[in-house]
Amino acid sequence: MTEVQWLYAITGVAALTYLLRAAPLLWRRLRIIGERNVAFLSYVSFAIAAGIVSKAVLIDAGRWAAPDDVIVKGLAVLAAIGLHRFFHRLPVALFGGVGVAVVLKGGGGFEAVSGLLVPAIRDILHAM
Amino acid sequence: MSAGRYRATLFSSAFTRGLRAGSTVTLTFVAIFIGVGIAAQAAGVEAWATMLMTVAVFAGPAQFAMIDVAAQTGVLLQVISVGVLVNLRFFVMSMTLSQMFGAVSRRRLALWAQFVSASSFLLTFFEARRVADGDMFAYFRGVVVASFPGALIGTALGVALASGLSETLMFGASLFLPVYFALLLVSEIARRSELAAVAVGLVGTPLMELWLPGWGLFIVALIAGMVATKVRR
Repeated sequence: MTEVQWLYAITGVAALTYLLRAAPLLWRRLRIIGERNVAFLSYVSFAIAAGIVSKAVLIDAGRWAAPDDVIVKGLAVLAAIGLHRFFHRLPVALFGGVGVAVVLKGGGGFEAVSGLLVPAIRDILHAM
Repeated sequence: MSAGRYRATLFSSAFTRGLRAGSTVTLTFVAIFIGVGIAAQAAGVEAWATMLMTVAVFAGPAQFAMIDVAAQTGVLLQVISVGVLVNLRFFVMSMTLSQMFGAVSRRRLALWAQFVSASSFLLTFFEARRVADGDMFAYFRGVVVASFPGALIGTALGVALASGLSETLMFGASLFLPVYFALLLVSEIARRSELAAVAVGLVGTPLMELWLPGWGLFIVALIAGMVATKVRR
């Protein structure tokens, strides 16, 4: 696309997106419709938050993420939740969870963790 | 409004709480928009157009979709259509926010409407559940002031550095937003109907995203809303 076409495309999307963003805030009739459906809208909000989490963990560039990445991301989320339960401090949990992911992904820690976990799970299953 | 009073409102505790909450997602914004910058460079989009897109459209998924369609077809109408369709979710988000902002002048609403995003919307939504009579508009502005620069910095970095950034750091930075939302969800779910909405969102979104890229989040959220409303009844 040429530079002028990009200018048109950006202007068009920006203007129409602004309408989508602004209309419910500025148009009284839409606010009233929202008032009547507060519970529905709050459920939609919960689902969007949940969807962002599962999409980030499971999908990468429009396809299923690599299993190793899924495990690392899942462990990061679980570590963050665990840290939050223990310390009751959001920043500690947030940076702790992400830190776990960075260490596992960057430092070859994933192999170490799976090297410990897999035999342990195998032993437990064997014992059962 | 006098300058002093305006400053007092600007730095009210709700605004500061918003700033703090918004700063936790800034790094995720940087990571997402680095991706936008890199994708735009790869597709041959000019640097000025990439930056303008982030300022004017300010919606990562839509920007990715626009760049993708432009690279594949180069048809202007298709690029505009895909950008707007991916952004339909903002309508529902603004509708929810309109219930939280209370009496705010139309001029100010018109000014700040541009910054409705999944993050600014969800952080304000969860704050409104915790603080029933707080100034949610001030909180929303705080979130925006803290997070929007992340989008600009990320886009500029993506354009400047293209793909020369550490993969591990990008990986980690991209996790701030989902981990943060997971923490919010765990501490906010109080009813069975809310749990139902979360379950549908968790399971349905990735599947729908694979089937209809860019639409999954929006469609599944609406389905989850209907399912949870039924559960509640």
